[in-house]
Amino acid sequence: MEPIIRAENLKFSYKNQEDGKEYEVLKGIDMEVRKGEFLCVLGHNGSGKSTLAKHFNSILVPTEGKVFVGDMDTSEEDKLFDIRQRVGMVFQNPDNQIVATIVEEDVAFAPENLGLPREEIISRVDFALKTVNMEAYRNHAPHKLSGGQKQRVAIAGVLAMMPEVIVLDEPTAMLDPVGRKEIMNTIKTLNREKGMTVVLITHYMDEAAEADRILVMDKGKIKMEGTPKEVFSKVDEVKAIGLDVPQATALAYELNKNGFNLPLDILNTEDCVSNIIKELEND
Amino acid sequence: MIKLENVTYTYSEGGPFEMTAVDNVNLTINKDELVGLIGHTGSGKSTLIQMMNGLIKPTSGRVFVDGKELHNKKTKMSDIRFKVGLVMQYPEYQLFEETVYKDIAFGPANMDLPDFEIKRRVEFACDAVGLKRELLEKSPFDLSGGQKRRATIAGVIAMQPEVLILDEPTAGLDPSGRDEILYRIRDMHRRAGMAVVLVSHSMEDIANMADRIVVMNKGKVALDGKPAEIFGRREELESFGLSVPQVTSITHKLREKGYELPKGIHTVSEAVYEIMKLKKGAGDNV
Amino acid sequence: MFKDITLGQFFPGDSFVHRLDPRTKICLSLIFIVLVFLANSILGFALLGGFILLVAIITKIPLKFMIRGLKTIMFFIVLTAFFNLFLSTGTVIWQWRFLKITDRGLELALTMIARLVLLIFGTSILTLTTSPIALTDGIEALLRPFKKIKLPVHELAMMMTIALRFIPTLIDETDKIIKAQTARGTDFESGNLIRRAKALIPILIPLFISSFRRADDLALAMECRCYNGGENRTRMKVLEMKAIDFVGWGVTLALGVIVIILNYVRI
Repeated sequence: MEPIIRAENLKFSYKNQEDGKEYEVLKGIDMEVRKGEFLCVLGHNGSGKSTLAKHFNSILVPTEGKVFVGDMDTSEEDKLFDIRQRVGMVFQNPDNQIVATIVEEDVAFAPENLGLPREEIISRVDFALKTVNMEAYRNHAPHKLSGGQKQRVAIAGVLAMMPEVIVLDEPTAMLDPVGRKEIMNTIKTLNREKGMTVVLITHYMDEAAEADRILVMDKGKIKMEGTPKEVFSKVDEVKAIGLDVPQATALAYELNKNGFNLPLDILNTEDCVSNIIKELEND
Repeated sequence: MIKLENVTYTYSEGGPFEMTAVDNVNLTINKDELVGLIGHTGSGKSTLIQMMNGLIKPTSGRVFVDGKELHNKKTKMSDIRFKVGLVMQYPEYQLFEETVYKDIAFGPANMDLPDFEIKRRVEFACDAVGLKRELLEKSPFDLSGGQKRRATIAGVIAMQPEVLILDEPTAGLDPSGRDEILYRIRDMHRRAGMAVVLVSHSMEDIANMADRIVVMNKGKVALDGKPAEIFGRREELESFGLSVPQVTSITHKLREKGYELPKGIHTVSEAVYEIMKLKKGAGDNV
Repeated sequence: MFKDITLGQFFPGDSFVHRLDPRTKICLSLIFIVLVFLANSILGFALLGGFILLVAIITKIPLKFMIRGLKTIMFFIVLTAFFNLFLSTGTVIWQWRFLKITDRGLELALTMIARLVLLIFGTSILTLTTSPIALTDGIEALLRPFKKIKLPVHELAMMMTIALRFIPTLIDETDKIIKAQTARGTDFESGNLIRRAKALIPILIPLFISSFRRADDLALAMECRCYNGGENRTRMKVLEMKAIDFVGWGVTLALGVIVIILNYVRI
């Protein structure tokens, strides 16, 4: 699969204003985002995952190494708008990324900035609101919506740029379980039905379990990489980094310590139940 | 300790947007309890806890703290606030002092305590939440997300309330930040004998922490009981828009397949224990 | 405690007045204000009063919402009326000790009351029937010619939009901070003025900090959505004058001509 975003030996450090010391946040990252995939970057707070995400659309540029979007180098300033249009970014706090006082006007914000003709803006707004299933709210005021709905409006606002990749930086961290489910469903629709490339930055393992591929970050480096099953089956390693595994995996892992012989790539309830039954019947 | 009697709260009563958030609730929180309060957004749990320390006055019904009735001329509101400590959602926004020490000391200072007592309490609270003492002299705005959360919780603990109410104390934290805070709360509950009311969306957190669970739905207390009882009523919880921990679903499915497991298993260790018994049992029968 | 504040005082609806272009409404309101000050005949005022009452009925907004605006400045109206009534010179028509009312004073006072009431009514109808965002768009469009003299019209409109967007958010936030600090024993109600002013610090500092953080986040989000100032920007919603706008203009201008004529042919 051809990569859309590629990082080569990406290093990023910043100087703390107070103590004047250099802090290295990213310590040499090589990775790529492949066309059409649903990639999850998993890591705890301070692991550097958000800093990495900010390199994808040139909010930050590498101190060392390179990041490419297609064949554009993100450190070239004249490519800035092209890059930002191709790589859309959704942030954690939905309140702080909605600009307008009416839903449809907020969604229109990016296409208006791009200077598109009016008919095109309207058709993009329609498309974006439909994709996130918020057409019914097009004339509502954003501050009256629920957290999940606001975040869907924010996603629509980015979709209206028609990006190739959508990067979501902890989009569910401030939402309740209902809101989280709404956002995960929206992400899956985008990826599976609309073929959009999705990069999800999160620390929730249940969200990561839905991805095609996971990169686990810790202390500015990529520690693990693989499918959810591959990653979560390494229970010790995941826990050592300070992350969770799904309870089904944890249960299998604990049972194995007590003489069971279950496969460790169990992620969901059904797999876990059928494997335990198999084991119990073999007794 | 806290007693709610036929408490109702209606937002913008009489107006076009009238909404009853809490509907005729009777509830008692006892000393030495760690109560988990669950319910989806809009079920009335936030309003309920704000009535427990008098931030919101019920439209009808009565609230008692330690036998004293709230919103009664004889009861001093500030005394109630010091007895019932409330940590609101995303408490980081309340930080404002120059140093972490001063911020934690803000509550006790409002109690007009002598300086040495304030110092003792700040240090106690700081240790209780596992914040390193050298951070006390830093600006609260230089702390990491998890540290800020702990500093604000310490700010309420320093008032040494008899009941500590926490609204979503782990929201937005990563797994290790979450585990740290939950561990500290439980530890303090056990050692200092503080009653705790924990509001959370995370069924796993509640399952691992609470001795008693109160489920709110549409402004009413829908269920109230021990965790095993509550999680044994999976269908009901789901009808309230709540889920059960994954281990509960797994053991429930095993029960449906005819395996003898107790209802309402809600922690991984409990599930391991019970499933191991099955294996041994099966072995014995052969 | 702030939950009941409604932003601006927009009252949604679908009346003739609601559907007018915001530019039309702003201009017509301005014309109306000028007429209110130009008018000096009883019939002129009666005509303006009748007109605005008719407009108010067309909007289908309950009259009590319009009167609410009057209540807030009732004191001011009474005060000006009082001064005009008792402190003018002219033929005395009523006297009690040192208080005297003159014919001129009575006329001035009544004119003043009529003007203020009409003024409030007129502007209330504008803000009640026009959403804040439409008002902003209207103002931006009307100010557009001033771009030539380097007036930052787009920037001003953008600032107004963002302010409107964030006022409810910040009100919510203030409410939360007040509650959190109250829970930590801050007392806002008792004590002298200095003590009470001091109690505001724990509210204001967190509010400022959070506003700055929000501003930072928003600026980043706007940049990520390719915002680059007003350059080459297009708009989804373009204001369009429709037939009803011309009707509105026509009616108001006719009214204006009559009011001015009445000034000269005093009855």
